[in-house]
Amino acid sequence: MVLMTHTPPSEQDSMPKTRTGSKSQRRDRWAFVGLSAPAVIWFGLFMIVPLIFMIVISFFDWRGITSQATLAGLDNYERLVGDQRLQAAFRTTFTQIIVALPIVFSVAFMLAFFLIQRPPGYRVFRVLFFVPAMVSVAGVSMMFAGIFLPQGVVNSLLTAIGLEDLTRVWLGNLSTVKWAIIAIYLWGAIGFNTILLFASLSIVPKELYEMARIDGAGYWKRMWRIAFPLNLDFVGILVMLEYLFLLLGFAQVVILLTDGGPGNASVTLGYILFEKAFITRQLGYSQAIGVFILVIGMGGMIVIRMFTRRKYE
Amino acid sequence: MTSTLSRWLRRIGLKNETPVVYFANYALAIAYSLVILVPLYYLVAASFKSNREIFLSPLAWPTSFSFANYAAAFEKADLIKAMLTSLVVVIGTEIAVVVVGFPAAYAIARIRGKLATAGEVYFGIGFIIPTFAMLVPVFLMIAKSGLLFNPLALVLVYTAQTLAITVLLLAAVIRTIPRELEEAAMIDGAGRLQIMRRVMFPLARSGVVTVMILTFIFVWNEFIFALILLGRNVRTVQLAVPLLKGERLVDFGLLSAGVVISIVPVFIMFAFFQEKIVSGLTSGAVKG
Repeated sequence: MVLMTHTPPSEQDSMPKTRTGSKSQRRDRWAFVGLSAPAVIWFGLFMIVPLIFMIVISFFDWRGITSQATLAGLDNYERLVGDQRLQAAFRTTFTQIIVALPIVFSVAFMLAFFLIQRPPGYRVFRVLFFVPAMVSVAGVSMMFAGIFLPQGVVNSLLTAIGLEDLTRVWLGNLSTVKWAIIAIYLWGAIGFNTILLFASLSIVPKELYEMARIDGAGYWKRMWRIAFPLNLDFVGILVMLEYLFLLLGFAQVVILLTDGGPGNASVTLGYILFEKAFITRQLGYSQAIGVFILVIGMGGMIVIRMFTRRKYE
Repeated sequence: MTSTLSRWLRRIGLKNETPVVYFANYALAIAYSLVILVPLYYLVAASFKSNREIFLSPLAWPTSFSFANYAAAFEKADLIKAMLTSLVVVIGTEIAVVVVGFPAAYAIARIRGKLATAGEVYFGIGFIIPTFAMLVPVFLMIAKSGLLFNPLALVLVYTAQTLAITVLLLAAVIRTIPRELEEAAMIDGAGRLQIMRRVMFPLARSGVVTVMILTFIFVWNEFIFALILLGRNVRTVQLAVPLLKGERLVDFGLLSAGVVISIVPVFIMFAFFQEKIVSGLTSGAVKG
């Protein structure tokens, strides 16, 4: 994911505004609008229009494409309140977010700051940390299906170090399943964010650290008191993206591995949206859940932004 | 301590400090490297072993390299057909995204005034809204247009989903190309379309390559939209491989071979274009 910032259009009005100039400029403007029109329409059709449909569908009772949709008013939204499975999903997702995001970003930031020092072998780390991001969600899920098997790597390592009592059927156990799937997330997310933070940290002028060092600030202090505040804006953007991913996209792992089970133990918000739409065929209700998740998503982003906006003095 | 180490410690300014934290970070980096590598090693090792061998000692190096799992994976998941389907979708999306995305990027990079910002904000939405939220509406739109179970549907959807990064990344690249080159062509009487094709496209080639690599990886790896838009008869790689798991995972050797096969094309890309991939994904990000 790239986050482009808006560089102001450079050299604005560099052409003198003679009569012929402005006329050809106007024609030029239309040429540009024409050039971008196909992309604007294509993008809008599958990225913007669906959001509008989503809101519209949420007010209907609709049991799948072959049946008739009937207007349901706010019924779908009222159902949200008493839905036990949804509440379980909400709890699981937020527990996962609250545990995973601080781990990802504290470790990733430490590693990124470490790599910035160009330690021996940092090139190897840079490549290696990015490797998990190249493996598809289906690939990662299938790989971890094997790792969490009763006879898989985790249990065999535990047995090897004498902790046989701790062996579990990780994906089939009520209390371990939601941590097992979040471990799958951590496997890749730490490295990916390390590399992005590395790029952002590379921009901080070296002199700043040098000055701090002369002032007696140690390694730890330089990391958290200088580098961290200077990159807080960017950290905030990454936190937002990972937050949104855990709310929705991460559900793919659940779809691939557990279907939310056993019981409600690994139901996440994103999974329940998928389940209501494509398994239990309650299209209207699923979209009410979708709107609910997006509202939580936007709310959470505002909170994250509040905490990470750099305060200029 | 070796002299290289002490020289280097001096270089990073740790000569007169307690480098405890620093070495703790080194340990952390190595520990995380192991966390990344052990699962991948297990996956590759398992793909050459029988299920009995895997369960007997999961992390042992395979005693005899057997390609039986690979042969079985190709056959049971119909992987050749799935890979061809994925390839068709990749090629379709690549063509669409460059043909449609490049002119838009050119326009955004060169148009004067507020429209450029408006365009960037518009495509920027693509980074904020998770596509997963749109599964149902997109499914319904594709179903109504009669394209369900047709790989073409994936080309339509993936193109839209990759346009955001394509347009913004290419616009940033095009901005670095001096305007004088176009102005010269314009004096020679070339129109905008001609300038774009003959002057800008060749100059922005490296940006186009970056976009195409990122698109390849995204499309090859995409799972959820393929799952809801394709049926039992047509599968992409990402849909075919999980078939090897079955209801209960009984043959991990077979499954791991399938996963390895599905990973190889992306890893080859990564091996050749690692710098382009990382910089493509981070470019611009750091300017914020």
